Amino acid sequence: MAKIISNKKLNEEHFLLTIESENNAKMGQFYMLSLNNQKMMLPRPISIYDRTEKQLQFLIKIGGEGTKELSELKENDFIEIQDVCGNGFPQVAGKIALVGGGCGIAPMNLVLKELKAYDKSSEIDVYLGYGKEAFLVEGFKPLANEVIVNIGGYIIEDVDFNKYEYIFVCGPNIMMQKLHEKAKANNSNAKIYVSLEKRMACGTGICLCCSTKLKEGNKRVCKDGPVFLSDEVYYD
Amino acid sequence: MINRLKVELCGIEMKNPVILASGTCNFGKELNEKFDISKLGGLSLKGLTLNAHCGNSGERVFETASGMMNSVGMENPGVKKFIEKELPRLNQIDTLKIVNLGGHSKDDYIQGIELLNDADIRIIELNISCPNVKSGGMSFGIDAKSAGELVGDIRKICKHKLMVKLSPNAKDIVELAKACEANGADSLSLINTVQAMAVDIRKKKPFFENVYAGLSGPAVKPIALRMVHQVCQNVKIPVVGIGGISSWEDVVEFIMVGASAIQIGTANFANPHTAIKIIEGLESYCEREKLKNINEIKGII
Ligand SMILES: Cc1cc2nc3c(=O)[nH]c(=O)nc-3n(C[C@H](O)[C@H](O)[C@H](O)COP(=O)(O)OP(=O)(O)OC[C@H]3O[C@@H](n4cnc5c(N)ncnc54)[C@H](O)[C@@H]3O)c2cc1C
Ligand SMILES: Cc1cc2nc3c(=O)[nH]c(=O)nc-3n(C[C@H](O)[C@H](O)[C@H](O)COP(=O)(O)O)c2cc1C
Repeated sequence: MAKIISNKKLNEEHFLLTIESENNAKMGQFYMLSLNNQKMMLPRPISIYDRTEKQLQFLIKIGGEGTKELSELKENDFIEIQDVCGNGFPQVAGKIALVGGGCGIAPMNLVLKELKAYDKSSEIDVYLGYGKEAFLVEGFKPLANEVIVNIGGYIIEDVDFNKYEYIFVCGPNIMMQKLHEKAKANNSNAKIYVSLEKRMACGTGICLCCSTKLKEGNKRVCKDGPVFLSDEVYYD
Repeated sequence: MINRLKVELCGIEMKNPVILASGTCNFGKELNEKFDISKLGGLSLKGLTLNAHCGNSGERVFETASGMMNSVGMENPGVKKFIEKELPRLNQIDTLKIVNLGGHSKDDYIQGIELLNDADIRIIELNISCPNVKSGGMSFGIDAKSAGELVGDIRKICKHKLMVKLSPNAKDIVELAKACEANGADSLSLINTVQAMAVDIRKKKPFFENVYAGLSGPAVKPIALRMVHQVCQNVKIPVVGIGGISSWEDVVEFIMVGASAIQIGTANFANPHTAIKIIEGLESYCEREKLKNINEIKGII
């Protein structure tokens, strides 16, 4: 059981949930958050927005009943979480773009911190795409080379595909597909890593509900992913 | 210390009656990273088919009130690869491994069984009830006559113990159970998932590409309990109870209506440690109730 340290509403749809939990999680990994309502058996997969050794922070969008329940948690309430899930983003250095759309900005916060800690000479541009209004932009500024914000449009229109050695992307699957296509059209040499989103039940790799066909064969988004090389993914 | 949970299934001794259900523990590797799976009574491994199968496309899971629907569609590496790649590792682990076999046709089953005959395993769970495969699988599991014939043909060639897994979608679960027993099944397990449906009202389409999917979890428990009770009243071979079990109390219910052992499925997804908590709960229950063995409550209802 993990204790809620704070639960902060950012706007009508988004909130920042901070919990007490010893961890050695890495960028791009996620947690399965269980709900207290017994009617909803399956835990919800949520990426790590930020962490310390003793705390985890999540940026969550209210989508349905489960995330609504999470938004109503109060300080000192408890929730059940399991071990950290997934593979995470690779540690790389150089010229890097981080592209997040909607809740896909969540993992990018920790990615930026870890990549800068790994090699502070890396030049990292952060692209943030929002539907209606921007939030949490300031947090990226101290470490990023540049922060580019797009509200209501297509963030990938702003990316210079010939500038980077690596591009990390997280967002709606359609955004990742468009980014992949644009990178190819621009003859980009960047290695592109995407964090896929797929409905899942277990988060541990035992149910095969999030199994997805990649070029190498079927992979489980929860256990083998969620981060894959974009070239490995079939976009349809 | 005496083990009050020790039970026997088809002459095979088990540490306790708690088995993980097929399709909900893969081949044990992932869960063994979370806890020592040799503490379990057994594992029913991911359903195999003769040849590898990539499973269904599209969404595969939909949450429902106190349950879920799945449309995984028998994704598996095939019997041969299982024997080469998974079995040697599994055989290092001291717990009962149950090999779950499904099929698209009688030939598939027969060839699968022949390959498994020489493998170092003890018990096969014959899945005649997977609702996900469009042809074959389901029809054997609905009708007592065709189930009986299939079990009879397999019994003739199968060197291992044979447990037949029954579908709640059967026309008459008791007739089906009796037909399997009459044709040489050593044991029965039930229930598999309940055929169900979800609609995406926004897209105005069925949620699953296959239209129907299998419902599991606490939502199906009362149905499973009723069916296990009915079957236990009508057969002599041991019955393994499955369906919606998520607590030790649920296990006690299934044993009281006659189950010799039980399997836990969907509850492993809610929390991978569920089975261990249940085993601990059962131990304390036996101690409190002063049972020398959990069997003392078997079939008392
Ligand atoms: C690896 C991964 C990381 C994620 N990280 C975040 C994050 O950091 N912040 C955030 O706000 N959201 C994140 N999501 C999406 C989040 O899991 C869903 O929005 C959430 O599960 C919806 O639950 P609900 O009960 O509110 O919605 P409902 O629609 O009522 O949920 C019903 C069922 O569908 C599943 N489901 C619904 N939408 C999604 C979805 N988009 N992805 C996966 N499962 C879904 C739910 O888990 C639940 O089992 C992530 C998803 C994945 C796969
Ligand atoms: C994701 C998933 C995959 C399953 N795969 C199989 C399978 O391969 N073979 C099989 O016999 N049953 C399979 N089942 C059925 C379960 O073994 C079990 O009979 C059913 O889920 C009911 O138990 P539960 O309510 O505890 O989950 C599967 C169930 C789920 C949820």
